[in-house]
Amino acid sequence: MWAYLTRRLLLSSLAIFGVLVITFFLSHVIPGDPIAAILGPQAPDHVIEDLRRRWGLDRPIPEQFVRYLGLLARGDLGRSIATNRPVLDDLREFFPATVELATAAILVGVTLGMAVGIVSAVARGRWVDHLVRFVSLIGLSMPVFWLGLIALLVFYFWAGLLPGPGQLDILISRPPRVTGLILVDSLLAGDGAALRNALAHMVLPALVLGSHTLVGIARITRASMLDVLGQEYIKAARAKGLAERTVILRHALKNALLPIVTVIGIYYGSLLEGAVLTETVFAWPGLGRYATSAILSQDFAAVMGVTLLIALIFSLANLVVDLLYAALNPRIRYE
Amino acid sequence: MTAGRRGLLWVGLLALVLGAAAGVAGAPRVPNTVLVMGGVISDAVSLDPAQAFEFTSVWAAAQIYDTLVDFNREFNRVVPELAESWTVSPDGRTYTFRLRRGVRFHSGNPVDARAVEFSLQRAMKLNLTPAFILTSFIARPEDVAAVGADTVRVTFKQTMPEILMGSVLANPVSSVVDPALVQRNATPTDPWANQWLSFNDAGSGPYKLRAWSKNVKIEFEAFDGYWRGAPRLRRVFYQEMPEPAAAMLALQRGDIDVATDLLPAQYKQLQGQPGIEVKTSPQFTVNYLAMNVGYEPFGKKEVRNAIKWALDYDALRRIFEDALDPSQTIVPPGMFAHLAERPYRRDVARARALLREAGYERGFRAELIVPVGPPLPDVAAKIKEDLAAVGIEVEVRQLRSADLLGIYRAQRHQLVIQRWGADYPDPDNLARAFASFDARQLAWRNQWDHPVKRTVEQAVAELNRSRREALYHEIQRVVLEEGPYAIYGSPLEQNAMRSNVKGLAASPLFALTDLIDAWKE
Amino acid sequence: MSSVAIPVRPRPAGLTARALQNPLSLAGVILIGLLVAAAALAPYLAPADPYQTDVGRRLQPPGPGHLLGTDQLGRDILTRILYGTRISLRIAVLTAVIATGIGAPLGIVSGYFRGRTDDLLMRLTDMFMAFPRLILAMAIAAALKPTLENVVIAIALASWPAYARLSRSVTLGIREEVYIEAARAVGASSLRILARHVFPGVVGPLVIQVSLDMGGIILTAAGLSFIGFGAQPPSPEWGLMIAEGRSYITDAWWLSTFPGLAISLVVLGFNLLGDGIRDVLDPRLRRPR
Repeated sequence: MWAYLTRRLLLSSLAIFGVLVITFFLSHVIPGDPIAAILGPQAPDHVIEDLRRRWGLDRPIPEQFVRYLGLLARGDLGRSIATNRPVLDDLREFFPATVELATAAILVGVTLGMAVGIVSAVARGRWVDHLVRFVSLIGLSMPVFWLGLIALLVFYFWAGLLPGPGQLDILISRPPRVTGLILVDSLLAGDGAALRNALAHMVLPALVLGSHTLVGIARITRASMLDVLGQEYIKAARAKGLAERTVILRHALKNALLPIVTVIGIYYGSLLEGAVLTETVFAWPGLGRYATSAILSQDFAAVMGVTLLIALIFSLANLVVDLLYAALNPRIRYE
Repeated sequence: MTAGRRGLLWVGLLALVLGAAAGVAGAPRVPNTVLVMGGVISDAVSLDPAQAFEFTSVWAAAQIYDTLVDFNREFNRVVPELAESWTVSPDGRTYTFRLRRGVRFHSGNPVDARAVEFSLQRAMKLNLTPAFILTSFIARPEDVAAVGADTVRVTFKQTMPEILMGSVLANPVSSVVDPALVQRNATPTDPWANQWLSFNDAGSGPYKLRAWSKNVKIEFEAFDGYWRGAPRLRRVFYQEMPEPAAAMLALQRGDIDVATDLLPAQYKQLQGQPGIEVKTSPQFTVNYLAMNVGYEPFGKKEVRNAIKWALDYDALRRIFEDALDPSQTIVPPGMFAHLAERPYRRDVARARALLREAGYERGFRAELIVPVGPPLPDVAAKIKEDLAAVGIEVEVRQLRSADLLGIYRAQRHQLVIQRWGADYPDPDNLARAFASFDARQLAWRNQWDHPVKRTVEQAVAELNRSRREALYHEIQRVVLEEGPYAIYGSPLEQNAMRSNVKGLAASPLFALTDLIDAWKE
Repeated sequence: MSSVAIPVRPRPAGLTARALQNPLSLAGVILIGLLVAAAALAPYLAPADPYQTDVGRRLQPPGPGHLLGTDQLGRDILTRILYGTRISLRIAVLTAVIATGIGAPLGIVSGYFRGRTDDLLMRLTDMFMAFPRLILAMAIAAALKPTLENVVIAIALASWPAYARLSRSVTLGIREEVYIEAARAVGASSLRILARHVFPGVVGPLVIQVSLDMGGIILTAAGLSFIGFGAQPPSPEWGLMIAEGRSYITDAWWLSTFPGLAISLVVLGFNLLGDGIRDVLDPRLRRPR
């Protein structure tokens, strides 16, 4: 077990180093100049030259890479050219919003997805099953950015049921920053108004972002439930005369959970980066928007920082999933 | 357990719905003493006036800080701000400013001549992005000197007509910062407290910076001790709304009062809608198609003019949803010395005749580079169509700004679509860029070395306003008749706001006019 | 359901036939058929020219003259959607071809030779698996200039590892088969075995996996176009049409609604078919993404 863990961690570090190398050279071979892009067409040549020198962009690329690694070894992710701040500070500021959104989305996706999956499995082959699956497939087929726009139009603009873009109403002041997660911070501050407002703001983006997860979870739940419902012990439970509801929820669901749990981690990782489009539509100050503008302005340090963070989370999520799988399924052993 | 499981699902659902309902019930409208603006604020890098160079940060700095002088709304006269009055030496190079008495910073410290000297020298010594506006005209930091408790003398490198003086000293880079606060927050590695000032306020302007959370909002609070009296809007928020469709919905619902970064088509739709007003102002920006004189056909004046006669200016204007002033000269409308002549219109026969005269009756091929992002690719498509009609076959290549600028700066383009926004509201800025080869800007990039560059130097040193105007008219005519640019208009700055917002307007140089003059009914 | 065994070499034809007994899958196939037909016949079906602007007829609502209305430059939306099918289909097919073209050979070689080669190739695959996919696609699209071809390359480069993994696991099964042993015994070269025996066995599962991924590919491409990394105007790419039409969302809803519906229908088609195929196979066969 420990040997396995060590091996996995080593391999993950190797993979992440590879990711770093590729991202670095990919973002440096681009013909184009981040300084010129940021300063625009009118900055005098000498201002551009000055800045290039100041940021060390006039040095050969391998030299820049070595220097970046040196910084990294000291836990420094470098400075963003576009925000003129340490990348670490930027990540600390923008990442919590994405974590919060992705977490809400996964909660929505998992709870609703499991409900849909169970209903679908129990009613297998009947019209309810077809209808539920058809509707959820429609959800999966809509581009998130379009779904987001329509959701805003309907629930915010026409019906006025939900608040518009952003994390909080503008007049509600943000609770003091402790964790960076608005919901947690407002709980810590005991600020009920901010909490309610933040929750209301989260409904639409979480539903939109969680829609694809919902369908994925629903599928797996359905399949897994069907699998379990066909087993002998379920037939036995039924034969014992247990109520159908008890059979399904106590016996079947419990055993069907394994594959569901294992995919949640993977879905979560992909939600963290999949938030790019949702964040743009809902003016969500998260990592996705930071990454988009960093890539557009060729802000190397920022692109590297985001890539590194997401790659770390991906690897970690995969590891956790595998370990969890082992923990839940005693038949699997790692040598 | 059984019921519990299912119950859990429903509780989750219910919590979501309830949370939503609670949010709605508590949603207040924006009160009349508060202004909420929505737009793109993520461009801002630093609110330190010595570093601010983006739309949002420059505008924000202008609300927090005061400068010695200011411009009137039309940007064609210099008016007093921290300086009550000034005198100029006969050679037009030295200005002596007398400061307004009793003005205080937000901290309570007095604004005096030493603070002015400190601030301008600080900006020049820091030498960050916008510093060139100062250093292009003032040789050394010591040329800004306090010569008494309330008297400051600024010596320029060259003769400075008043508008040009204002262009330098009314620019936010010349803002006066509180020396005591700067010194208190200085560190050994950052002796000018640039990091601290990036996020904090050391100003004397009408608004105090309450908070700036990047990519979320900038929050201002009225400064009651402002020398012109307390501002009527007590709090102002500038909220990030990157998605224009969402910003428009918020404006229509009244959740924001002003939308600053909508698309031309949206302003068009909002015009005439009840409760909403679209304010339009000429902008000191010139949209142009440039021809590289170094590419053989464009070396001939006739070919360049054939292109100017081939374009369908009306159609181009429609691509901009009419938010384009059809000006054709390098000094944009609304600016001092603008020449209101528009000789060119689509005339295929004339264009063909000019090409024949130049020996290109069989046409030629050219590559047009254009930045991505609407509506420029549409403009490129239209230009391609127009030039095809006179026999010039254009191949359009869309490039990201970084790549395009690399090619343009290296003079490796043939045709390029670009725009030039004035750095300061004086025709010198545009004349220098478009007509002076030696300035190494647009004339240089397009390899157009014309003797009119001497007129540019003459005009900038001319102190007499009407003689100066005549010189700029001459420069504009030369560029119009011979220059390597087909100018197809000056974009209009537009802002949409609720109709109860008064005194706030689109501005030719910054996105909006100053907040101090605004109020809500 | 669970009684269906996992065939080592599922024959796509047989699978499809079984999947088609499900009305939902049948609906999917019909939708995809319509897409292909529209792409093939676009010039004959379309009532106008997709690029011809006519500012005098801008923003006309759906009606007899223009069934789905006109856009901000007066172009017929139905026409643009019809031509857009070609773009979406091309993106989907090209991406699939390139991604499997990279992934399948790596996976087959890895699975057949095992040992060092396998270790090396699978570490490479792991590395790419660890990459944030969308960010990689954005970075590549940014590096290569935003054109449709480069969007294809970007998505393909970001998605080949899944195909490498699949090919490897299928190959691992095939190489133990008796007929492979037999071929080796009669002295067939490795290359010959790979080409004649292993590759055909990998094709089936790959085709299935690709058909499952098609919808996702189309959505990713549209998303990239929406945030400016993909197709550029005046291309009638659907994601771009939604992006361009969103300024008019309250006044001229048809600009972004119809392309949105078009994407949804096509992706729905692929998803319905994919779902049907999944149902026929063992539910445990798949993992998300």
